[in-house]
Amino acid sequence: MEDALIISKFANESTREEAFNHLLTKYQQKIYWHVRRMVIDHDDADDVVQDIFIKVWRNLANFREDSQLYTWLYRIATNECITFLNKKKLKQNVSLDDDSSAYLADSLSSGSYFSGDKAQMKLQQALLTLPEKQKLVFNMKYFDDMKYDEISQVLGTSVGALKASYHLAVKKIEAFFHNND
Amino acid sequence: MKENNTYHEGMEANNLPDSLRVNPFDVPEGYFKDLHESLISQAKLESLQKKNLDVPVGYFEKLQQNILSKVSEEKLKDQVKTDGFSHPDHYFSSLQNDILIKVAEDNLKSKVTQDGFVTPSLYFNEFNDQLSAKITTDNLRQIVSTDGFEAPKGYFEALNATITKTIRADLDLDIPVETSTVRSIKRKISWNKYAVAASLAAVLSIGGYFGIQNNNVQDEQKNLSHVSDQEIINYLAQTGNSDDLLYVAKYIDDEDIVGTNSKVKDEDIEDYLKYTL
Repeated sequence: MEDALIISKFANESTREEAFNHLLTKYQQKIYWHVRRMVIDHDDADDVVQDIFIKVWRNLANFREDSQLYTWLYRIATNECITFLNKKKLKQNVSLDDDSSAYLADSLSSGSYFSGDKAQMKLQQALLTLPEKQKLVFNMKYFDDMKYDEISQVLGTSVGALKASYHLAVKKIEAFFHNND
Repeated sequence: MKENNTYHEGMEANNLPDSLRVNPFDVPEGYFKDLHESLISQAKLESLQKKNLDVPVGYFEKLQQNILSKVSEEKLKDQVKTDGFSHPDHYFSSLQNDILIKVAEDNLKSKVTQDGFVTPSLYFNEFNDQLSAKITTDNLRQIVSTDGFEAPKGYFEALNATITKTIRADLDLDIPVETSTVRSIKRKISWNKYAVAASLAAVLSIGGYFGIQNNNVQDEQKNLSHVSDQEIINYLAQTGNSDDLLYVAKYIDDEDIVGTNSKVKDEDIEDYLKYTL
């Protein structure tokens, strides 16, 4: 079902649930993987994804069609991830000034549902060394194949700044691979 | 033609006999007919012969050299039949068309001098970095094409059901779909909580700051008593992060404003102050 149709059906109370089910089916996996790459642990991702879609249910009626539905969903998902990770930092007594995701290393090594090989593990470890923003940009560009314009709509950052972030992220990952051969 | 009466002048007695009076001369047949053309041709021929008698200056001096050159040229032509150059197939058959196209192209270029395309600002400044990132990304993709994470079997089917169940519960509780401003909070939080959270945060922040300066708490309380809650809220709205307000608000219940300190750890408050000040 097209996004416009989902939105118009959602506006009608009698077809709201049907529209939302279509939205869920269409976007749940994209959103889940976006969240999972940020929070690493499956159970954490599950909690965050549920929160996101409940928030979407409550706010979709206010969605303004000057942006695309999926960038709006990504924006909500990204904000939820950041909020969740900040809370997690505080729980683990990690300073909010510490911009890396090193505190998630345990989730990566001990958590189940990671079937990656050595190289995939190394890439995830490299990503944990990046600041959150660079990690987000890298994930959206590398794994989701999103365009800078779309990422810009999600993160509210200029395309130029995103390009710089991606460049820095890639250089750091390259150096990580080089130093951990 | 033969003239019979050439000598007949009325002197019959003295005249020669008729047999002798016949013109003995004759001309070839058609002689007079061709005479005119023959004379003109002869005149032209003589005129030409006269002209040909002149040769260019130095003609004879160079004649030998010219003949030798001509001989060499002929020899060379025998040895090297062609110049070795060639042209593409159908070159000459399409040449006319090609020239016409070129003319049309030139005309167009004179009318439309630029293509109208522009690049984003700083495109070429960033180009090297972008290219290098692209190359590294492509290399990385050769090794790592997916992230390696997986979800439990049947997770997504169950996720639909879980979310739908939660929403149904919302509907049963008659929690309406919001139709006003979009807020990024799960629970409905009243402005009272924001105000209380903002006030608390401001008091803690400003109090902490002045406390470090001179440890005179009494004086700070006096100073703060002059600052209205609204001013504090405005200050936080301009300088703070709404997520932080939400975080503080999360630990405050409507009925437990006084007991806030029992739920917020000291370290969390310190972290918060470090983050906002």
